[in-house]
Amino acid sequence: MNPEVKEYIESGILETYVLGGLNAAECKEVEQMAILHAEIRDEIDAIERGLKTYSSAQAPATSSGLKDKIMSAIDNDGINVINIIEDGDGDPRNRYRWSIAASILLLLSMGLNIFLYNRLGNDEKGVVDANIRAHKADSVKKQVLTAYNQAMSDMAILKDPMYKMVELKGQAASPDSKAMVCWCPDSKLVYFAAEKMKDPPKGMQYQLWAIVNGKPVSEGMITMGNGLHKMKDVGDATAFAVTLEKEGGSDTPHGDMIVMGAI
Amino acid sequence: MVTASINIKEEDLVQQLKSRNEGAMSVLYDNYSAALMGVIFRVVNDKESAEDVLQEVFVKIWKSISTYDRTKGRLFTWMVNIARNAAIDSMRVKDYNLKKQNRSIDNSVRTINRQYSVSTQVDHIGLKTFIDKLRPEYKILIDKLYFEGYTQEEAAEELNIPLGTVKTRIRAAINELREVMK
Repeated sequence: MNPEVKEYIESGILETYVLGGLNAAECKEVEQMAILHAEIRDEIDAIERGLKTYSSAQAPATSSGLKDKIMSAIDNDGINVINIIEDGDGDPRNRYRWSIAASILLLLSMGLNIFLYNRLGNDEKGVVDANIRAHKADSVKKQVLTAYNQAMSDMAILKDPMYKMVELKGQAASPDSKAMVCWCPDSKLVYFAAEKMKDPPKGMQYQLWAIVNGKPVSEGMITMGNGLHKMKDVGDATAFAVTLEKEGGSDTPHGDMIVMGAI
Repeated sequence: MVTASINIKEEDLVQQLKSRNEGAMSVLYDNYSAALMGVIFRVVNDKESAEDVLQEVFVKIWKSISTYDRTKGRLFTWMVNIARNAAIDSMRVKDYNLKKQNRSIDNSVRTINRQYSVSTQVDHIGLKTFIDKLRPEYKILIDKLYFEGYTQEEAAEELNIPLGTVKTRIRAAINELREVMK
């Protein structure tokens, strides 16, 4: 490493930068140095990761549903759909992205149809109490919005170049099954989408595994349903696989392997 | 282009947020909620209140993302400032029932009411072992600067060490933190 860069890194200025302790001129200087030197960019990222992990480790587990609550608290207006759909960069992985995007849009249009149909039906009958009707419309609207938010969030992941799209192909036990994992090695985030998988038999559940150093590590249980589902973080994997396990999952895979894909 | 390669992910996320993409907000939540929750919880020390503050923080991020300026610092730094200030405000409201102060969220402004020292109570064992590996003088410095938003000058005064020592110690401290967490 260039001795000047080394000295700069060791001065502690980057730590102060991430902690927010620099003035505007000093910030600008750090930005300039980061533009010029990859080592400085990497160091800043590593410092940020360190602080992130430190405070994350001190956070209590949040209540389930908090994310949904927060997402619905966020204003719904001014959403720009156009910028989501504008770029197609000839990447073969886009096939998967688009197939998912298409099914999300189909789902959305179905939701909207239900909403419109309900409204029409009620108008025709003309006997439904206005309150009940408003309430019903509201709950359908909420469902459509939830589906919409999920779709937007899925799209952001699918178009994110940091994510690797891992295609999981049907194995001997279920050759027609198909699934996909979106994995970002940098942030360790993992999302799972069941593209084509039968509902598991009663008392059984699908479980996702990451293959890490040749050993399966549980990525959590799979809930069936549309869109991408967040699984456990993994930073280093060579493949992903799904097995059919007893409800609640197993420590090591016991059941049939349904789909698998190497990275 | 050199500039184009810098942290595309964060830039892209910010751009998506600025164009009001709620999906980007969802990604932001997945990436940063735990870290922000940690900062808030260290100040308010109550899970339920911390969750309320976290909600307030994400709404604020969503509403003021247009004012975020990358050249003035990291997105993470900006969000931590919002979280810390919101947590301190909530304590102020809770304890003194005062009207919430309209606080600037500019990166350079870090006014802190020193009455609210962060909680140092650690109740789960996994975390305790992890934190115990940090030298106490490192931990207290990180906590002052990170969770309590002290400036280096303020930290030097509070901890009664020379400013030069704060500057060199902060690198050593965060290095140790990174090492411990590997």
